[in-house]
Amino acid sequence: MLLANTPAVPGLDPIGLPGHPLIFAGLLLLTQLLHLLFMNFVLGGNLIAVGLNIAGLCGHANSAAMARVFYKMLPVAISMTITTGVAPLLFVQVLYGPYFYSSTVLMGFGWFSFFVAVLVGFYLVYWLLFKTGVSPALTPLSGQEALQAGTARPVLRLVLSLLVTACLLWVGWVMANNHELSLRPTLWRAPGQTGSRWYIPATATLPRYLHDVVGATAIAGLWLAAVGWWRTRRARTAGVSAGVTISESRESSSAEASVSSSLIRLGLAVALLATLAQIGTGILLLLKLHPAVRSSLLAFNSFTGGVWMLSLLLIPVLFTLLAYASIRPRTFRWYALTVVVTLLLVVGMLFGREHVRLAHLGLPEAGAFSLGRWDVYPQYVSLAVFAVLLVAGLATVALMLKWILQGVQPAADHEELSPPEPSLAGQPPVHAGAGQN
Amino acid sequence: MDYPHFEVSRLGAGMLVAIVAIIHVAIAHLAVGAGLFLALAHTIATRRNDRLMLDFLRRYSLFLVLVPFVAGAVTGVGIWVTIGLASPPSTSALIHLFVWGWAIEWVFFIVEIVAGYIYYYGWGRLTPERHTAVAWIYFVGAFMSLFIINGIVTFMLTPGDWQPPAEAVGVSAQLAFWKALFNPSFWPSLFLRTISCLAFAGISVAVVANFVRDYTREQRHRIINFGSYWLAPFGLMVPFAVWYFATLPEDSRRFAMGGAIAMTLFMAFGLVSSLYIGGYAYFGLIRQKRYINRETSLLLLAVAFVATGAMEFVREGVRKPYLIHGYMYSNGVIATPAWRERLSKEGILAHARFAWPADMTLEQVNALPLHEKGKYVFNAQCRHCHEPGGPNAIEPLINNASRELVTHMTAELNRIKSFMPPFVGTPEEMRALVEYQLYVANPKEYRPPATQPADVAMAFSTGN
Repeated sequence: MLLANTPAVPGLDPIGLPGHPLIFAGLLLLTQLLHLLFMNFVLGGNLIAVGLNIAGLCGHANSAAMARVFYKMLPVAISMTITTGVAPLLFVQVLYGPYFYSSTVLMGFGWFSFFVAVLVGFYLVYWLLFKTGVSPALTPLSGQEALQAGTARPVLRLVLSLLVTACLLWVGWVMANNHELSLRPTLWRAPGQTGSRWYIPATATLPRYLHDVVGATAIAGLWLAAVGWWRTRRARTAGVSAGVTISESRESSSAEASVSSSLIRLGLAVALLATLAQIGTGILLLLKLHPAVRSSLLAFNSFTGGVWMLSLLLIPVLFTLLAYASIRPRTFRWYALTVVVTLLLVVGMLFGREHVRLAHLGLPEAGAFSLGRWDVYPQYVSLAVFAVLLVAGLATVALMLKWILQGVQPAADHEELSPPEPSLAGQPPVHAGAGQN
Repeated sequence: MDYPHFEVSRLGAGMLVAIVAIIHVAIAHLAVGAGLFLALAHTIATRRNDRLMLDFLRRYSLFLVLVPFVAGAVTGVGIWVTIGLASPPSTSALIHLFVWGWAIEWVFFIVEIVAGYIYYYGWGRLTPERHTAVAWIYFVGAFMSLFIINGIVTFMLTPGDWQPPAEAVGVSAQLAFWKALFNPSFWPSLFLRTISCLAFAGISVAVVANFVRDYTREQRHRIINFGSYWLAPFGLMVPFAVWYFATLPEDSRRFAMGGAIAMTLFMAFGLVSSLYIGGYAYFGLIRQKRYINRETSLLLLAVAFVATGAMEFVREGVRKPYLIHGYMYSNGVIATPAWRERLSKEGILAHARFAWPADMTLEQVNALPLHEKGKYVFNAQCRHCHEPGGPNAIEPLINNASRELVTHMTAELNRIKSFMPPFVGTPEEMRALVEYQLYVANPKEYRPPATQPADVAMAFSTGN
């Protein structure tokens, strides 16, 4: 007999898994890491850019130029966020399908709205780029351009950036809410609850969401600093090779250096502050977890929980490095070390997240799920084909990236060489190294 | 069945899937066709030093970034989201059977997106050889993505002699994925889709050329004429469609050839639209070298959209009563004899815990008056397609039918209407479903049965 509070967890798919569950758990972690890196740039970067747009309106010299640098990269970053997001979405369904599908259906149009919000947000980004005179290209700003950046419709830019950020924050909320709902089958059939479950009260959704958003801001700060470093390095190279006059070169490099330096300083400062805030949201999330789940996370008796516990040791190291890198923003090695420690910490947090999921789903009221309950019907031939194609695909991507980075022209030349402007009108094409076609 | 129900009032979840899917398919086909167009056109234009065509390709790459890379990619995720909401069991089955297929497709998707952006940003940065190579890499990524997805989509209709992994043994289990991917309709469907991709590319060339303000009419004419060669293969839709339909299960073929008039009409729309575009391209654009203005190019785009939408609708429609032919019915019930037998013994309500209220036990549900209990049987088994008050609502289908007729129709559902799945559940659940249908068709005049009709149990025991 089924009782009212019996978890209504659907059965595991009888088709089973085409490989050991740990293969998919590993792929989930790996692809989630990739997705997080791009997603954090997009979400956290937009939050920072809103601040930059406000500062630009208030007359802060480099703010608009910094925002502009960020927006130029945004379309590619959003595309990569979507592309890398597909894989963890797949592997979550593979391993946790009954929980995932149930919670998404209970969210109904709340879940459906996430891809609509991505679509709207993406086109708003292009609107922002085109209407405020920022072409979506990787072209560096010339000295004059850098000085004039932000003069084009700053209010419109602020409004659009707020709308884009709202879309992205909504997507984040939907994801956090769905994750939390999928962990708690006892809430699925609570009497009297009808309609889209876009908010579940009395759970860890809010702290989880805050943890995600604040963490994204911290990583986005490091990304902005990375962009600053990249521009600094490229400007040095360009300064040597560009065929521009001395005065033009000085003006250009001075403005370029100013924007790049501001990006590094701002990025590191944001990363430091957000990481500090992240400790608060992390503790809040920990306190809001189910007591049994919290105990198992802190018990140091599983691999995933152990990795998470060990990664906590990196927090004071990260603070020290961030503080030192912020004080000495001209020294690259401190920044590089900060990035390495941050990546390790993020990996540790992902292990912790997976531990929390498995501990939640393993509770009797959640149907006592474990990965070992899956029937496995191995498809090693298919796995091998995937592995080979993955290596070949990534090598192809690396080769193309090498080509495009090798081909980037010095700042002064960008006008003739840039990709088409939004109106579909523009300069005749010129191939690098080919002279006139 | 096991999962909660995604309610889309008035429209129905299936229709929502159709809307998102058709938009996505059209844009995705455009992305693949545009890949071949870019690669070939770039190669030819570079060799001939054709500055006009290179200039056009440069502008066309912006169109690619703005449409397929935004709307195409996001609706691709969207269709996944929507089918997961509308039918979790079939989505789960496709995910689990084709995990490595989706993973491989993801690799090609990454290559496609990265190559597309590098092509776009590559103007002025890449050497002609590298730029051309990137265009080809983009096409390979996009086409292989289609290749994999085509296998998964066609599997749903023609799984061939595929067996669920639990029932296959030895080598068969290892090769289950490949047998499913290269199913009987894989190749004809791939050709059909490739033709559709080329046509979308050709039409999009005309549309984009017409939106470039600083081209002269002659320049536009030359570009449009170049693009028109991509349209001509649309005429081949008919022979490939014949091949495709020859590989379909007999029932599905019959639905398309007059068995289900809606399907036949949609197929006719699709084929006639395809012939129209192919004929227009060959006789008007290629032989007569006609010019297409902005309005006509948009009209052609709309016709191609209708053709694609109609054919996708037919492909979905002729699969009934299955979501995955022979394996899963359109209501999410697994069609294997073992599962049906189990549900007939244990009852469908015991396996559909979201179909009845959260604050009741199964015992309480079973103790309800028949027509009330029948509502939950309906939720579990019928509501996927028959949304109350929405499309396919049950009320007008029952109308004033007698209890005996509804009983026999329910018991013999799949025999009377071959596009309907059979009823599964206990005889008691069938009685409840019959009473619910009678009740919703005419709530004011509904009277509960005095006794159990003698022939229900018999009909049920011999039916299905």
